[in-house]
Amino acid sequence: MTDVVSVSNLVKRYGDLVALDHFSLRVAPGEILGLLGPNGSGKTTAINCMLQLLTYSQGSIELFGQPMTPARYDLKRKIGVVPQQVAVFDELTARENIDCFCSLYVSDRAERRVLVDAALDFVGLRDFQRFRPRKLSGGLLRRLNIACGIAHRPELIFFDEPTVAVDPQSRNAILSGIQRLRDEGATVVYTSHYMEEVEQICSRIVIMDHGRVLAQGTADELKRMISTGEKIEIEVADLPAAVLAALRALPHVISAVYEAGVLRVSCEASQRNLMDVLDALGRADVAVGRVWSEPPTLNDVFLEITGRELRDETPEAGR
Amino acid sequence: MLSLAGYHIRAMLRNNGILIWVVAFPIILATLFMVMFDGMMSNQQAGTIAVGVLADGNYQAPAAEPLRAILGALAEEGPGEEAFLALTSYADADEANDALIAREVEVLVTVDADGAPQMSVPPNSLNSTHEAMVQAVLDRYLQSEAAVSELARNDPAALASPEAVAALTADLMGDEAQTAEVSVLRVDPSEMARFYYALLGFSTAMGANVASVLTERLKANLSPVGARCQVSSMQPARQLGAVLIASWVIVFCCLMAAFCYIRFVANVSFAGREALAPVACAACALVSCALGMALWALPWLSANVKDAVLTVGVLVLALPAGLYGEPALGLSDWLTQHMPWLQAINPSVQAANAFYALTYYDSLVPFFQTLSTILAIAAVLFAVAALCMRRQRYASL
Repeated sequence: MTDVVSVSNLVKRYGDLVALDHFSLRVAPGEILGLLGPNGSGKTTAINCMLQLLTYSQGSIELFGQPMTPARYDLKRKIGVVPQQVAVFDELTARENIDCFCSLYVSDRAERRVLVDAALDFVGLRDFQRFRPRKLSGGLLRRLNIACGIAHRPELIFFDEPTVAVDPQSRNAILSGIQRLRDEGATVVYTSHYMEEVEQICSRIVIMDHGRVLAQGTADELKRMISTGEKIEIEVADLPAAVLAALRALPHVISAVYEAGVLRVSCEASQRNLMDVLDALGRADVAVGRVWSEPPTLNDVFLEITGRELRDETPEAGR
Repeated sequence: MLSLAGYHIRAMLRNNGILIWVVAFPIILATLFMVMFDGMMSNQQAGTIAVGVLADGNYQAPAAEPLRAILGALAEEGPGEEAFLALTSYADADEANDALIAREVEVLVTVDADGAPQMSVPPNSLNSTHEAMVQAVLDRYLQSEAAVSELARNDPAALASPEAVAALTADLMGDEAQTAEVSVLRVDPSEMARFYYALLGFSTAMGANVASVLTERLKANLSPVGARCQVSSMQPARQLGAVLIASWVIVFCCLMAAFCYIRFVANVSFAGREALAPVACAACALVSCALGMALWALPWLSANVKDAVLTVGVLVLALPAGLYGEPALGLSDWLTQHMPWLQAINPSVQAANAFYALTYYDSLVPFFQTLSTILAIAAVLFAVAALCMRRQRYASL
């Protein structure tokens, strides 16, 4: 089956800065592809190039198996965009906004009325359809932003960080909505620097930084690519240096750090990691408080690949 | 495209900035003009001038008979008009001077031994218009006297018969003595009306704000909404068409509202050609839209810079249209005489000229010539806008 998106060796420069460095991407029909990377990694630039808003120095872009150019209005008809910034008319009501943007794709008024009703229901804004944007909360505004991008029933939808500054309830509504769109047959490209939501909804994930694709695959595939298989955190009142050295010598332990009363141990994938660590502490008569054990996250993947944290800013409250 | 235009119209009618600057501001300015000009017109009303006359022997002498006749005539009320002068006779010089100092009279007229009139004004006189008017009357009297004396010296026969003297006196003193007033215009020109025409020119330039706001919403490099529009499947030319329709409708309605206010509230004459005003407004609205679209379609400047350029531009364009008072009108006339090409490419000036030509010229040719100039300016600006809007991708956003 033809890929919905096929990008090869895309290079985009802003002066001396290389924003996209031989960036390649393929998205299969019906997929939710997560484009994961820190702020400034080139996610939005990649999308803008695909949408033909930005010029690029090198590379090719095909959508629906055909070369994408600024004048391919037939292809643009199949595309929906939910930009990072809320892009609506302040003077129009929610319903008018959706209908206005839908009119850029669908000229028949009766057909549009049905589509707008469906979009309002989809994002749960039916009760707020007569509200102007300034009367809507941040979460509702984001939902309106989404409705404006999807009302014309596109086959390919680009979501560019749609959950920035959104409360948890709205965030969940947005994420489940995206999954419903996929279930209805749409292909989705979803960019975010929030690994949890990418892991939650994306069938495949591309990790990028400095305009380059660092790794791609499903969440499990990505986690298997790194050596860390399990992360253990234990509250310990006091930990002698000899015990810490003994822990580091355990088989499968990659690293062990004791800081501010918390022992953090990274291990390779193994069945007995937690038991081995607790046994070692028990043998040294070290009193143990609370214990956490978790598999590696995408942040660990990113950390191991790049040597730095994925999330380079303080997460919003409530996330 | 029509749906999009409809939403643009709706959005603009709910935009406070547009409502204030494009709809209300011209009407507010016209109201200010009304108040200001009303004061100026009332200042220019002459009224009756209180004149004191020292009725001594010199004044009563036969040599002063013509002067007495003139002053007497000017002190009589005409049909439906009040008297030009209110004469008060004083038998005593001191009494007359006291009245002058006390400003019971504005001017004191005395006659010397030769029968020549002399005018006295109060101490600390401000050289008022009334003083100047009385002075003009006396000057004219003296000139006529001198002319008659000269004639008597050089051609005594001309004054031989009473009929000849009467005819000469009528020629010299009559209202139609020296010049005849000829007008090439349909109606008497009104200096104040030019300000209102300039106001319509200013409103034309100000209307560019509507098209500018709407064009900004089509450009990905100027607004997030613009990016959304630009990635849509509607061609830029059609989106630009929607902006043109919407902004034209709004600016046309605003100009018509301003015109109606000026015509029916400020009572400025358009000499019976009001029916053609919508044609002028339509052309002016078109050039207004073209101006806003062209500026905002330019790829180089940021939205803030363009906003500043338009604001300053509107004020500068309105200057040679004569909006800012007498000096501006003088500049307008000077530019028309010495740099007509600069006036020809100025939409504000051309808009003001259109209403001027509509009102004053017998023929409608100058009016339609001005409209043609306006349409030509609009065509050039539209071409610029269309060319710039063809650029659909940016180096950066």
